Amino acid sequence: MVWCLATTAVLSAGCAPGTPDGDSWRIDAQRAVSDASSAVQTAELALRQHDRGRVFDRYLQTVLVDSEEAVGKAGDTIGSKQPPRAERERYDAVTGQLDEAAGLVSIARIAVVDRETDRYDSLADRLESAAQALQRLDDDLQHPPRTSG
Amino acid sequence: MKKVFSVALGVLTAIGGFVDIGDLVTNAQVGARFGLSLGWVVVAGILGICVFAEMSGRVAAVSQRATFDLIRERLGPRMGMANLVASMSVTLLTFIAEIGGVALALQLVSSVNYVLLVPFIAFAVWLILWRAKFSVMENVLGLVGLALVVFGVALWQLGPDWGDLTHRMLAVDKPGDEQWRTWAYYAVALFGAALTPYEVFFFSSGGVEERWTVEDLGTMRTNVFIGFPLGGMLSLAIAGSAAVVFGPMDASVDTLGQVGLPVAVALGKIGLAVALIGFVAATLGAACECGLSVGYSIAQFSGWQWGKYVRADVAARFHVILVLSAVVATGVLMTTVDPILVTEASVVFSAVALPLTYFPILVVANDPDYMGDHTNGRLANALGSVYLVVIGVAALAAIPLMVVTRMGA
Repeated sequence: MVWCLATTAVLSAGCAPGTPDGDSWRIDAQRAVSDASSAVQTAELALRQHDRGRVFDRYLQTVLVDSEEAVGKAGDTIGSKQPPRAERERYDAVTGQLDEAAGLVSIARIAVVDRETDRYDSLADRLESAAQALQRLDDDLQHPPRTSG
Repeated sequence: MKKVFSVALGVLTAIGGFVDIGDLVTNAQVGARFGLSLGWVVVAGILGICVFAEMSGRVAAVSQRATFDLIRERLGPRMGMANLVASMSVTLLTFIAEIGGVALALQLVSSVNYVLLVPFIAFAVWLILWRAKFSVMENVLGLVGLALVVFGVALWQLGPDWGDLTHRMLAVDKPGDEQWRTWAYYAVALFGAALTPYEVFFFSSGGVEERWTVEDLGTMRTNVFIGFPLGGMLSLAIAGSAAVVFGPMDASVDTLGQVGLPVAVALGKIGLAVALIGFVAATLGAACECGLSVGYSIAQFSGWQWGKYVRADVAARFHVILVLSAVVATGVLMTTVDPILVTEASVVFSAVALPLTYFPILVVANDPDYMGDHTNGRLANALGSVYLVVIGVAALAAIPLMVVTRMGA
């Protein structure tokens, strides 16, 4: 009986995501944001090079698909981690920006697959802004959260 | 004239065949994150592979037997088995990574998902190993692999600050935002990528396939001491190009598509097309070498007939291993495991297996019973011993560094 209870307790504890401490959550978040930022910047670079006639359509398409997967993976990784109470606000910011970046890269990939070349320039600009926002978030995550008051 | 042509061909194929998926990915990753601050590891790795490739080539030329053919005989079945398990496992892992690398390269050309391409590539590799002549396979893929010289041209065209690049390469330092343990992890990975065990497996067994004799020692040394370092320069060019393009963006490199982008930035579509040809040739060539090396190692340990210089029905078990290796590689890659992740793992586990691969070479190359008057000289022994110490340190550090840095995160 005791064994059954203990096993049940262990299994149910295993089902809920553990709460990492503040530092380790921040490191994970920083990694996710940094990975996403790299992928977004790569997508932007590839689009701009295509605009200058330096990249093949299919190459661009593969780079965009890879970027989309990388941003999605970064979002999934940090999104499934339970944030410490003090990091709830930044958790929302991180997951929100990663979602936004993922959506933007998906839009760019769709445009590339459909060969909507006239949209590439504006999409590259939007990707540049998204990458800058991610880099600011990355910088912010280097420090513990600011305590109010 | 024929001799000059033969030497030139050997050097060119050594250059073109030097880079594989491990070198492509690891050098680009390191270049983007650390600039050329780990370039000295590449140089150290090239010198190391030259030292041990020369030894294993000399063993093949003098004894007409591949180095690993002699290990079990010279060091006994236990040491032979340890060597077989360590080297063969890493070579099989590298084989999987190389086939994945060919698939990723073709995905960049076709935009067809790499998983769908894997069975066809594995079949093509097996067909080459089954039907193509050894010299044709080595020379054609090696020469086409020279297309990767485009990375050198791209680096020059990107116009980096050469003084700064050289300074960073000579100063053993890391960028301020990186940790020393991550820096050390990538140093071990680069070292493992440069000294991958299959390279000496293939080199010594290839010497037997091509029936080298003592008279071929000069040609063999020219290939090793000119071809390998020049091939290693391609690794530095890949790292340098990634450093110039991705370094200022503070972006990491995680895909083969990113590895080729600096060439597109510098040289446009023509340069990119050449780089893609180089990717396919380099990974396909390395896949063939790894596939053969898996067969060589098992057949040589077991005392079976091996090699492409004998008829397939005479070396039937050797050819069965080649088929099984291709099937295993296909099976693993069809699970949709990321080939880049397999590549990263293969270079780190390479580092772990290095002592078990290279220590026996040093022993056999010093044995007068096999080598007669051609045993190692003082310089070869001094360099070999120093490298064994370095290799030992890298092997011990590889797994702990992989764990604490979460594979260089």
